[in-house]
Amino acid sequence: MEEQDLTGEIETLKKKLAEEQGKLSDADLILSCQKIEPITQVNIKVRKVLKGHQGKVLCMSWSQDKRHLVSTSHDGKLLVWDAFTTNKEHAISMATTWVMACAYSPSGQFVACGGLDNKCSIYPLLEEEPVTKKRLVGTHTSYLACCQFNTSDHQVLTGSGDSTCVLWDVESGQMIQSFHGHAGDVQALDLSPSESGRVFVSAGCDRAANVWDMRSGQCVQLFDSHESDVNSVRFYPSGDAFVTGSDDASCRLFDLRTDREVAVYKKESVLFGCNAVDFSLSGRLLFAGYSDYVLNVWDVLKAKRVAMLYGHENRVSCLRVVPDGTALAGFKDSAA
Amino acid sequence: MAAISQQKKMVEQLRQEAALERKPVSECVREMLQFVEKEKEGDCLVTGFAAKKDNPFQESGGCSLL
Repeated sequence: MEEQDLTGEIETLKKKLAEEQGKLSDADLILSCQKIEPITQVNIKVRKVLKGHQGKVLCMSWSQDKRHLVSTSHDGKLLVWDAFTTNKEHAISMATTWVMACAYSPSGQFVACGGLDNKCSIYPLLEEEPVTKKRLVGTHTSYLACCQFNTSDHQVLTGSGDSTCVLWDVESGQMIQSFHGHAGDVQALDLSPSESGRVFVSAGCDRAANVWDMRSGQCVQLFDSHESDVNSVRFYPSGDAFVTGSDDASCRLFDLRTDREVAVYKKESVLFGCNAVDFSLSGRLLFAGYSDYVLNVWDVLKAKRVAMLYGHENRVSCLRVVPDGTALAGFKDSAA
Repeated sequence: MAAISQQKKMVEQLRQEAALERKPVSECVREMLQFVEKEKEGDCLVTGFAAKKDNPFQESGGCSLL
């Protein structure tokens, strides 16, 4: 094709896209929700404190049994907790420090984790000495930032500082699919709750959130309205949208079906970067942890902050709502 | 020549974007509201628990050793 033809087509396509975007932008989420009853009170209290990590807690993941959770820290420790009793059920010392990623397997029998070692490893929790039965799932060319089991115990999706995401087969340690497209370190990923095994979103230091087709490895949608590194990403419970938390002190809601940002959660007084985000079960509340020691609770439909949860003396590094929505665990630098 | 391959990539990318089926924002808002309404009852962090004992994280009644 001639260069002129290409330039012409590029112009036509861009115009067409701009027109379409204009037509679709027929409403505003926050304006449309003005008549909705506001959230008048948020009755969330600290019920349990999980103390045991010596170093900064970098990642956590709930078990599907809604009571156990795994957490990993910068000093290389992996702890498995019973959140009801606050007992530590397992303590594994890893060979690496800065364990930035961890995930509980759907069956509850394994935990996957990794960090500065560039590797994603899996430990069987039912063994006498899980640390001796450790298995390597996959290796990146830079640090492991995040990982999640893909619908079963057999596949793990990883995101790395090498700017790629990879889907691994646990049994063989083979790469099933790799995802290239980010222009910087990947910091976070989340699998779609509605398109199980087919779609996931990743976000990172290139300020973008990419939506991927897991079978083809293609990036099907890209959202880059953040002004700084995106540290955390989480799908809306319905799977139709996702929220991101960034160093630009804002959280943004992106709707996949309309392919655009539909809400921004920020406030003049909120100046510090957001490191962790999660939704309540219905998606009405957005929990966001920031570098200024605060956990802000936002009303998703009104873009208003409805509560500030303290109880943390340090930077909130990760938080997760329990699978059945009964509680929220937030890890600060050395305790939950 | 590099410019042409760059442009070809851009055309591919734009074609893909143009082919994406998008819904109007109003429809998405409607569906999101329906979802929130439907799930509201089960969302303990929003509507709370009917009884204290429904909360699995609530401390059970204390007992002291005499």
